[in-house]
Amino acid sequence: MKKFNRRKFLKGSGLVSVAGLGGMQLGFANQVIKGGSGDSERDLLVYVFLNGGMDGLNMVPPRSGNDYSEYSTVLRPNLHIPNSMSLALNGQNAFGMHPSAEGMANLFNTDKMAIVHATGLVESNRSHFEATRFMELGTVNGSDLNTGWVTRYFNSSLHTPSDAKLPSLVSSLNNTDATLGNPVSIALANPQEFVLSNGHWAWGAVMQPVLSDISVNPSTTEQLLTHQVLNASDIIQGIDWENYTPGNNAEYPLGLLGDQLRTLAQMFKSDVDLEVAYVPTGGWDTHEKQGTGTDGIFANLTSELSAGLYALYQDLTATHNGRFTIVVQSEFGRRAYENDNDDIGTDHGYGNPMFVIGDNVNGGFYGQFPGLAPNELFEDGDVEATVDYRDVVSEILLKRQRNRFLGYIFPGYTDYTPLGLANGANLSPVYDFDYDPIFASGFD
Amino acid sequence: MNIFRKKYIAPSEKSLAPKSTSHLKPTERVLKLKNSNKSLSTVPEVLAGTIATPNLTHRVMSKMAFGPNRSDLAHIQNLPGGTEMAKILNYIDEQLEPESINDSTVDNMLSQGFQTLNKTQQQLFQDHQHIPGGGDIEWQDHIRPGRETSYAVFIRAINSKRQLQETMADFWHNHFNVYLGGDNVQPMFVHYDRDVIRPNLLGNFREMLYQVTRANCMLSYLGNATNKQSAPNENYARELLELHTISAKNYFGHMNWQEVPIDAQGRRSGYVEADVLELARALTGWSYDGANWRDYQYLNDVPVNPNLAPKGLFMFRSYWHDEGVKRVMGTDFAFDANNPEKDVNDILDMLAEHPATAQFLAFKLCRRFISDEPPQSIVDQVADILHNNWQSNDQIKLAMEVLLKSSEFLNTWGEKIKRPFEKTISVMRQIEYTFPFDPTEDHSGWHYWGFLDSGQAPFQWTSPNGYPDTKSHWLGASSNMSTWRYIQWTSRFRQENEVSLPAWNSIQEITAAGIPNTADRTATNIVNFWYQKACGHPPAPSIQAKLIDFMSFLDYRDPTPSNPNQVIDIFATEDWPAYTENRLYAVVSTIFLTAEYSYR
Repeated sequence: MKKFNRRKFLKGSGLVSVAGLGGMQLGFANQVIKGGSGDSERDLLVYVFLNGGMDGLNMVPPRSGNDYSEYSTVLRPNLHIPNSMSLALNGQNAFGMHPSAEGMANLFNTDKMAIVHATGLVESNRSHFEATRFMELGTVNGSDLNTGWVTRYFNSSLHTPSDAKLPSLVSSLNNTDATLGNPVSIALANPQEFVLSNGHWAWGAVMQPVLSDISVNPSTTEQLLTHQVLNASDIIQGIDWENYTPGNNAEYPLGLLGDQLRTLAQMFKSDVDLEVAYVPTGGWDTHEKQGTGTDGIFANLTSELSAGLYALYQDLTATHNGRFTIVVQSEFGRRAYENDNDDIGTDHGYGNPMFVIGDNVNGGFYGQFPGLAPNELFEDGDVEATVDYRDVVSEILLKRQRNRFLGYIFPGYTDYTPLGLANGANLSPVYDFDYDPIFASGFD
Repeated sequence: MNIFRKKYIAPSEKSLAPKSTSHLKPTERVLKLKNSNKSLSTVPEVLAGTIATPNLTHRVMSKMAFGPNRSDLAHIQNLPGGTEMAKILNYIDEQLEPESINDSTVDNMLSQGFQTLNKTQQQLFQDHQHIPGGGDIEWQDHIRPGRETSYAVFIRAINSKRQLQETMADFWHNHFNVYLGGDNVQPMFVHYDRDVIRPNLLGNFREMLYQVTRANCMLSYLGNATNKQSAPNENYARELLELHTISAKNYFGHMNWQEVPIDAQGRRSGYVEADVLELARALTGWSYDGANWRDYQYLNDVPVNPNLAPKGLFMFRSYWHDEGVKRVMGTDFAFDANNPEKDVNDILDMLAEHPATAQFLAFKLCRRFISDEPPQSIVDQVADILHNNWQSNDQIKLAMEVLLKSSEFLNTWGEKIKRPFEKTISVMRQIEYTFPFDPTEDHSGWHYWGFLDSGQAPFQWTSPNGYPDTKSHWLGASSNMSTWRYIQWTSRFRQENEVSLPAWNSIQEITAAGIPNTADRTATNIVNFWYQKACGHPPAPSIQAKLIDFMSFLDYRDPTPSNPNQVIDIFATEDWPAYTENRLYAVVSTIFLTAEYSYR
């Protein structure tokens, strides 16, 4: 098969890349290939990123054996979750859930949630900013990529309709590098206020159509941004945000995360072709005052996260059973031993559990927990990582999102190893970075 | 301190401006837009366009200042020099000596309703964090120093004649970012801004680094205040290396320190994980009085002696300090009992002198003032000045002079965009917004809370790396829309929020002065005047036509263009159904929302 350079193709077809976005590619692969709407039966991928380094050891604490004795007596004499408090999980007694994570325990015990042990970057990095950036860009180290992994997912998605209304959402005020270079993605909070309605009562409302008119034929990145923001405003104003009844009477927790999740759920159900929703949520950097049991910062965050994930699952499954997957990840875990006995907390670590939730997820534990004995810890202090986090994401991309171009989405990735945590089409991965979507779709 | 804090707002504290009433009811709006056939993925072809370039003065004011206003433009015009370039170079020289510039407008505004800006560090702590002998502190009092510092930032950015001082203060606050909402930060923030950041914003980096390392705000924010020998907290040590000095670019991860390359002068060129731990050991015991529960045990005495109350001042806790030798980046640092700060000071010397630090600071300064990806040649020039003068009192000023007088700075345009704060402030300068930001006035709170959703409210970035400084981050839809809405609102907001009282903007007066002959005040001339003033160049024909149409509408219920050359009475107010005054504000603020206005 002849290799065909997509960048050259775009250049030849008269499209330009915009310097400000660093060579972004306009439109999705299938826009060139198919030129029409794809099938409407697509899965929604919800990607929840826990910024700050979530303490996986207290989220999924050991309950028995040597790991429990190391954890509760040596590493965390003050900060551990005693097995009298952690929630038991079906089928085993090695690990439980944090006592504030009832919703997540419930999802696990009804086979809707997989827990993958000890995931991480291939190479440990204890800097928040580096580790997070690498994960958002989908790279293993600091390369000069100018697109994020979600951007490349869409660039290579063969079944996203070319006229998808609002396929890519970052449910947050702040943008993420995961969607870097994607002019289609929008970062959005407060949908009710996503309209130019703050001017004078008589003339303020004229500003939006005038501004739309001005940016209708964009000639710069900034004009394109204006154009896209105003289009998004039109789409979003078409949704009745004030009247929403979640499915299964799901109750989202009060607070920012609950709002973020409810917004994306309503958007998904409003037929705007939402396909990937990225949900950054902070607070997990518990160097101090982490708290124990059901008290403190960590327990509060866990309670909100667990209730939010449970509500999102209930809400979506009521109307879209089997048509969504939720992936939960943090940039790293925390140090296995606690750091202090006054304002007790934990420093940055390495290996950490990921959570995958959905109707097509096979509930249970996956991956290998490396153990907490001194010789099993990474650099004498961290939980070792034994699972490349890309294996977890890739399994969802292949089986649920039906995108095979793993080497393009995760440059340098060549050894996809499915864990078996989800059902779906067993496509074979393509590892070429400079792949050819045209031939890939037509001649495979 | 948890650096990735969530941005919760105490509901009782939140006081937003009331929403304006759209002429469409929400239900009508939904009906009108239901089944929108818009699609974000049918991206229009972006035709290769050029960005018009404004004149030198407009460029420089947009990049080293928070945008031009009339008085600063007039001032530059009157500076000595036969050419625009000569005048601008003189202006840069003036700005590099901020203390010599009269700033009485700002001084006067900061004396109206502000209570905490002149308090000592100890007063701030004992009035707003812990009252000697105990006693409740109202939430409003607890946060007052932080809130007043935030208002002061608006006042200074909009009104100060010392514009470079303000853009540099913004730069260093982000370099040494402390989240205002962090534990114990608000009561002490006046001290952080006034005594830690501002004295050296054009001075000496090593001195600022030392002051930051001792600052109770930073000690609290990154947890070093309770960093002790028994189990060091690495948080501050890591960010000191990664974000303040050597930079992540020179982080070698889990490598052995012996393997890190050595430069020609024998320095290790970067740091590894082990160095983070060693530096954390060195920083044990660097704390402040009031950071530990033991500092409050005096309350258990009978009777309580208020003189024993913690003062919030820097405190070296020898009982927490690790007195062993620390090996940081290949060099050993010994503890000196006669000079217990010596080990840390020697390390700060090494870090401040290190060429990687100079490169990192130079890159960030060039990224701030020139371009997202500045040419290495100018970065090297600035870095050399920083490195060669690392012990000079005017180190940063010398470097900024080279940067600001470089061709890379003077002769480029549009390689940066205005982030939400810069865009909003530049609009307020354009329209000469006279709102006083008096902390005792409710409407100041409206301005404070309303701006949070822009995504760039001062001191509200939760993590220690400061607000992102590249274009890609600021392409988020919510951030743009929120900033636009804020500009919409401030461009029409009136005194006391009363229709009968004047607006805080000076748009009518500026228009009248710019188009002195009333017979010339047509839709065409008004649009041309304001577009040129805002963007520094005339509008493209297609944009011009749409704005002129808007300015010529005479009936809000039927917005159709009228004669663009008909004279408009810009002082007509509440003239149903034309609402001329507010139409003028709407047209002018629309110009500020265009892509062309976003460049700097």
